[in-house]
Amino acid sequence: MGKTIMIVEDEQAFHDLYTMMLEDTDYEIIRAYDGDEALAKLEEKKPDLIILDILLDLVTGDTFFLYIKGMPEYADIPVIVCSSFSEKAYKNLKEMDPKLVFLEKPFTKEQMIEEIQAKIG
Amino acid sequence: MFAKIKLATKLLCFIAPIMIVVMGVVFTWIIKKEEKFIRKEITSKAEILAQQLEIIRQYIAEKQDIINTDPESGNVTFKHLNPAKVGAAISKKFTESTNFVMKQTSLEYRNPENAPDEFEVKMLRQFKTTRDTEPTWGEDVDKEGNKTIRYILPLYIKEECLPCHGKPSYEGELDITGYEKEGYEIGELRGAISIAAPASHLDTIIKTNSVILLIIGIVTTISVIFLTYLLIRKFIRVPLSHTVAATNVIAEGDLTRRVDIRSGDEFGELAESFNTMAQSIEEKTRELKETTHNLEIANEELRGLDKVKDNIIRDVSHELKSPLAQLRLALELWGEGIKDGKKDKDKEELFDGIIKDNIKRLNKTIESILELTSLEFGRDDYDKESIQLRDLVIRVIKSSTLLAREKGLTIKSVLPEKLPNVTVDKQGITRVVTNLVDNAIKYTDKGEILVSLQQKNSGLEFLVKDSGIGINIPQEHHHKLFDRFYQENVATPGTGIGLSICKTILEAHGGKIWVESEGKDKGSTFKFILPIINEKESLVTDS
Repeated sequence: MGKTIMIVEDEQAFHDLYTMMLEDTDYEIIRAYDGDEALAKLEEKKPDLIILDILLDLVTGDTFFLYIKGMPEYADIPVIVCSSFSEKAYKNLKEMDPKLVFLEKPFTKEQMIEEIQAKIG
Repeated sequence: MFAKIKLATKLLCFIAPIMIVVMGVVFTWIIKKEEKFIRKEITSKAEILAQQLEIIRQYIAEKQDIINTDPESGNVTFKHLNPAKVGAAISKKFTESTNFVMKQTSLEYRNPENAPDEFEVKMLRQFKTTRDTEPTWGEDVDKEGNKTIRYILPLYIKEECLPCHGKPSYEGELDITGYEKEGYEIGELRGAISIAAPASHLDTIIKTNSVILLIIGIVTTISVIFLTYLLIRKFIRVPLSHTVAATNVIAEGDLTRRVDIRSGDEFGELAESFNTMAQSIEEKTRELKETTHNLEIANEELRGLDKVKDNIIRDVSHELKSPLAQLRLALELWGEGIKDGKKDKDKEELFDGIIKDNIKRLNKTIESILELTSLEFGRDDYDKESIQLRDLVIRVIKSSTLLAREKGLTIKSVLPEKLPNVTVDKQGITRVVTNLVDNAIKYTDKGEILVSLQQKNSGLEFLVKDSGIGINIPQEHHHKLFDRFYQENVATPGTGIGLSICKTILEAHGGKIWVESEGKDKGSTFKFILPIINEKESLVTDS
């Protein structure tokens, strides 16, 4: 059984593109469109990795991140933040989890695959 | 140390010693003067007595012939009434009946009763050498120890003294009284009349008067001190303490406090100056408070603007990078598919859609930025013409109907005919009306949107009323909606410059835009008014 990746992203086009990028792998994909939905889906199944956008409706990506890092059962899930902003804009997130990876948009498929493999193989 | 003492005490510290010194000098002078006066009086009395006795003696001396000659027989018999005997008798009588001591004395006395005392010996010796005819006086103490004033009137040998005291014709010649003649020559000192006047009362009077003066002095000093204290209290301390109290109250923060002193003196002037100062402070403080308040508001607005600016940069960044990221990934994946020779129609359609959407999105963002930039520098190239606003509004409603219908909304319009023309830039006002109508559709999920036009005095009022999300900020901040970059909710799509553009365009037309809303989820009504310029004015303006 492949590992599970949760993608938290508000734009459908990104979901479609990420799905196509990962269709050749055997990762299982869980989709969420905002932080609130992501939290609900976390309770159903704990993923091995979370790909997170920051600008989300309702519960934003950074709020969601800080929330899960504060919960012992989810704190160990590695997170890749895919955002239009660089790491500098979210220093507080990096302070919370030094292992956090930032992928600044626009990025290539290769960059994304590399980061995923580095985290969960 | 002296600086810490109260004003009244300070003044008294100066006044009291000065008063004591002045009174001491004056009183001493008065007492000395009085003593001199009394002494003079006593001396005068003694002088008169002595002169009187001398005159009697002289008279007796002159009348010896008459006294000693019997008028009937013409025989001369010594009657024992010569000057010495008469003088002694009168002196004795006088001394016995008064408290004066009167005496005839001589260094070569015949009668032992006339023997001089110590003071008299001293004076007689003096007269003997000086032959001074002026009497002399001095102070002495009598046997009982009382103070006396001594007066000595010298008696020198005259012509008429010679029969008894002159040179004897033979040795041992006796005079008429039976005493040996001393052999004096004219001008030689024979003796003196000595008066001792009692002066013990002099000390008593001076002592009593000194006590009286001392009491007067003490009473005066105390009165002056008390009076000074009262005067200082009434004219200085009370008004001063009012001012001090007012100063303290003002220092504690009550700037409305004033000093109530209605006098024309320096304290009145001080109070007036103080009140003027207090009022000035009050006004300045009020101004300062207002300025601080305004500054706080401005600062808050600036902070808000700063946040808004951050948000707009974030939005623009997101609006540029997000479509770019999608384009890049779509093209990469599409390219991979082509390279692999795979043909998947569904995927191709998806890529095509993503690419087209994102190019549109990028274009819109770039247009917004350009619009923003052009507005940043202001626009004055409006091409104004006189039009019926109604026609313009109808065209906008028509173009927006589709958008409204997609959301299940209806647009209701109340647009009366025969409204006056307005002179506007058609393109600009179309943009304003479109923006307002589109916003109404964008923020409303169900219900209807009302668009109306009506004449209000010298203006034409346009209104768009929706039943949408309403405005969730206090009314006094409504104007912020028209600030550039302002977005009530950061999550709201768009750059938030639409309303700012509307405001700029309307202001360039002499119009005004505002919004009314009863709060969140209670819908909002955006209104603007454009001035109606009549034909004549329009012509004048144009020419």
